[in-house]
Amino acid sequence: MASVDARGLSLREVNSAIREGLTSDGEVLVTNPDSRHNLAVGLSQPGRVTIDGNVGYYCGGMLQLAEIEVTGNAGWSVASDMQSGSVVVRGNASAAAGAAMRGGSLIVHGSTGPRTGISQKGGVIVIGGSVDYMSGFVNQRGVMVVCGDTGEAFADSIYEGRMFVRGQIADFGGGAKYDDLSEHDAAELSGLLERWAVAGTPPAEEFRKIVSDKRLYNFDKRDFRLWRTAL
Amino acid sequence: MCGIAGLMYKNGGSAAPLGRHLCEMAGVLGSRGLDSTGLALYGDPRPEHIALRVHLRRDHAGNGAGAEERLSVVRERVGQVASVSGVTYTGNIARIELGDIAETEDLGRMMDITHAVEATGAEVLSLGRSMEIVKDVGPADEMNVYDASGFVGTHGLAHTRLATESIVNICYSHPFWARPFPDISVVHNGQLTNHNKLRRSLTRRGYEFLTTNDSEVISVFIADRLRGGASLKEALVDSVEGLDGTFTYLVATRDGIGFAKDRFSTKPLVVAENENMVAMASEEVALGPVITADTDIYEPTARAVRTWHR
Repeated sequence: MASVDARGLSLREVNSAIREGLTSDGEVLVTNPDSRHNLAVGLSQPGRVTIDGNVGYYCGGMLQLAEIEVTGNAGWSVASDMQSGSVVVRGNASAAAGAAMRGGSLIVHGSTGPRTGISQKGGVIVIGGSVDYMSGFVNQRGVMVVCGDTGEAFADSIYEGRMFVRGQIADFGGGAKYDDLSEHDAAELSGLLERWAVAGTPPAEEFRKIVSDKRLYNFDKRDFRLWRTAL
Repeated sequence: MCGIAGLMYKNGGSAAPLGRHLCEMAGVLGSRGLDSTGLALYGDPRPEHIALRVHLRRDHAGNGAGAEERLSVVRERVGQVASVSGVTYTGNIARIELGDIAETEDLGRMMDITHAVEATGAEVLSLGRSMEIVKDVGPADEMNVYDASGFVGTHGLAHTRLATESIVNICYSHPFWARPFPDISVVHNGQLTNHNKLRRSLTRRGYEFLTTNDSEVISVFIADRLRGGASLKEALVDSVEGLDGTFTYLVATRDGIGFAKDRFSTKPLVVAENENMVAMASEEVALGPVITADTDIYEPTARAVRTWHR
């Protein structure tokens, strides 16, 4: 396994060393990340990257193929624009985790900040703890699993995605509603919870499913109040 | 985008390297704003003393006059309303210390002192028994000329500015002093949308502002609530509804420090706390200079408010 001590290196040097390590060893350990921004962004090859500590903003952004694990906490927009691969955060993650991701898996064992999964367009987000204000905003596709509670305005303006929440939902944003948990949903959910072993792997039956009520698909001025919360 | 930071040593800490820590934190936060940098530094108050930080504007007291000449005009004028016990200056920034200012002196007296200085064309950046604001345009490493990193003290704030709504000059940089209240300062990340309305309302009630900056309004808003008998926490809670726009801001008083976040949680803040200190910063990376392995780190949510007192 290749190893990179980030302290004292420029960001470009750290990210180049990660890519070189993936090419030569297929596995890289990054030490002393010191909460710096933009670590392991733009990776596009298979392999495993373990970052030992806390990371700053945008860690794992635009990821393809590689599997990243952060042993500590992550700052804003971890795994944003991820295309494939996986990002696992053992601690908590800040605002806009998984923003605009199109594929792959973002797993956060702790809790996440506001706007988790904002504009998610695919892939899977699994949160072991709770998500904060306005999470799931303008979700267009993909799956978000929350083992804890949600903040206010959850799943506002959701389109085609599916959300599964085990705890309390502070309130829905405009355009979201409960739906029945189908056998297919339950099987998929169980598979995710077992695979990623989050929150002690709770049973799928403890989750409620949230989807779009489709009232925001077309503008109707009688729904003005609904739009006001969305905008 | 701006960078904000705050730090309080819980166990007195009057000999702690406050200035060095805040300068280091501001240095890291420079990536969030390079046009101005500022610190509000708090130490143990000296009985019956007040320190003023004054901007000796180039165009006051006669064009072409040097800082020393301009300072002597200020000194003479302020000497008519208070007893001047010490004067120093660096560049265009003067530090004027006044003695014989009893604890019981009211806000009217603070206004008189401020007016005396400003009658000469200079600008008062801060007035306090325990607080001094050191700020200027430019990044953190250009602040070394003011020796801020050598300041020992108990608590303080730091700010790196990326101006979004008003001009770049020393008066419009943070921290903002809540004139005329001694020892109250604010650093803000965000933009207020109702600051003109609030400023008009506060002006009608007799308050004055040095600038048209939105963040200066927060400082007077909070100070006015404290004057009305609110605790620091109550004042901050009031502000979450009373201020409209985006904000995470930090406030410091003679013995307290606190933060408030807007209802949308639009601006970041990371809080680190252990038994010896509490530190706050826009980004966790800026907490590096002060945190230890036993430090709890968390991120407050929308509408969150919290205060600490020495």
